[in-house]
Amino acid sequence: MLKLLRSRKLESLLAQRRDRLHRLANSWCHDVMLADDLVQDTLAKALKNHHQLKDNEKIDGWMFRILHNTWMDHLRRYKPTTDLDDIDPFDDATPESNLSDEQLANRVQLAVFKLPIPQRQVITLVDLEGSSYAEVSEILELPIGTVMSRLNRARNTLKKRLIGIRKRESNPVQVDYIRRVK
Amino acid sequence: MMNNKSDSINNNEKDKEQLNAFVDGELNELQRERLLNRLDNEPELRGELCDIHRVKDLMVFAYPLTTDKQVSTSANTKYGAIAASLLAVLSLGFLAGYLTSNQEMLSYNQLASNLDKKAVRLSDIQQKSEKVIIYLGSSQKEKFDEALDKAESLLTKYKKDGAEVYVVTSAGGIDLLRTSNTASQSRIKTMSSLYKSLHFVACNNQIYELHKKGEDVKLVDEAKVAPSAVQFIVDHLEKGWKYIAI
Repeated sequence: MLKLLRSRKLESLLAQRRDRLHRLANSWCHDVMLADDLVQDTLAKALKNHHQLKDNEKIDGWMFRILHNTWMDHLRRYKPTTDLDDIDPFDDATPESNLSDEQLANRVQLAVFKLPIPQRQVITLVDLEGSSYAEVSEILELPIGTVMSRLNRARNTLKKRLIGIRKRESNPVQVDYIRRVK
Repeated sequence: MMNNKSDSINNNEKDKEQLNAFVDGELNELQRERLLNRLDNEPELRGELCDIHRVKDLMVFAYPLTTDKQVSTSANTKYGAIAASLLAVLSLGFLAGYLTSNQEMLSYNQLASNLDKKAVRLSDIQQKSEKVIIYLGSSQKEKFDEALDKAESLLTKYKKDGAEVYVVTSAGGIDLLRTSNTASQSRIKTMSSLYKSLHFVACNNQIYELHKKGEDVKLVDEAKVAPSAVQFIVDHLEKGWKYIAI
């Protein structure tokens, strides 16, 4: 009976994290369908190996670790077919100040996708999941110093690629695009 | 000569790592104090800090947390409005970062006393002012309490300085001001009578969305309605108000 209750509770905890896992997976692989598959596999592995989770408080790190391993397995099996250098996050002619929210989000996502995988994983765990450096170190099995340097490199690169793409010049606040998202 | 150049680059990278750690809440009190002192005196370091905040805001903006149904049926218009609301909520943090194109910042030590690493946006660093907008976009009870606690603490702390606080609600946060939310209704009434400079604002766009879904929206007497929460916040940020997202 206790086993059944524990299993139910775990299922519920996993279900609550599904959306976050999907967001993280998508930020890593930049492919919604693949992210779906990775999350499915991750959840299946988590259920199968639930006995490995000793402390429910640590479920986030545990899940992210499984997701990380699942993705690494995928990359080993299927080498990426897209040459990242072929993707230019800034290849359209839209003036920067006229970027819609969707365009801006796409550009940021592409810029993130162009980061080397190890940097991409660190920055998404820290910025999207709010993981501490110690947690990232545990999830990705890296020294904290490496986590810090990868994060620094990732943010530096994104800064160079992104900052200013929708910065106001001397004009008043552009209300139009703000209204559009409502 | 070569060594000096290399040392300088290394120090620069170490400084940036420290700034990252500061933004991510990873520094201990002593490290933080040291960095705050340096930030007071080094404009370049302050500029770097702004940039890190901006990149962080962009990340959150670009990857909104969507529900499972939104992911699998993104073309389904039923969820379009929800997605738009979510995007709007998340845009605010991003937007606030962009509203402070001027990187001139006042004393970081002063800021530090108010520093709540999850709530601080660049706009907090813009001007010396005790006029604050607290933005609430969540319908969670604990978030309601957090918003009201924050308002109360600001009004108490800066009473002598003529503090003024707007609690601006949109998306799920509007539930705070609905009469159906009896839990917070009496607290809102009490706080409004205690603090004349406390105001509650509901977003009319959100009310309209709820009406479209067939929901009857009745607000508490203390609530005022603004045509758009985003516009309201933007207008006030331009006038130097601080912004805190709950």
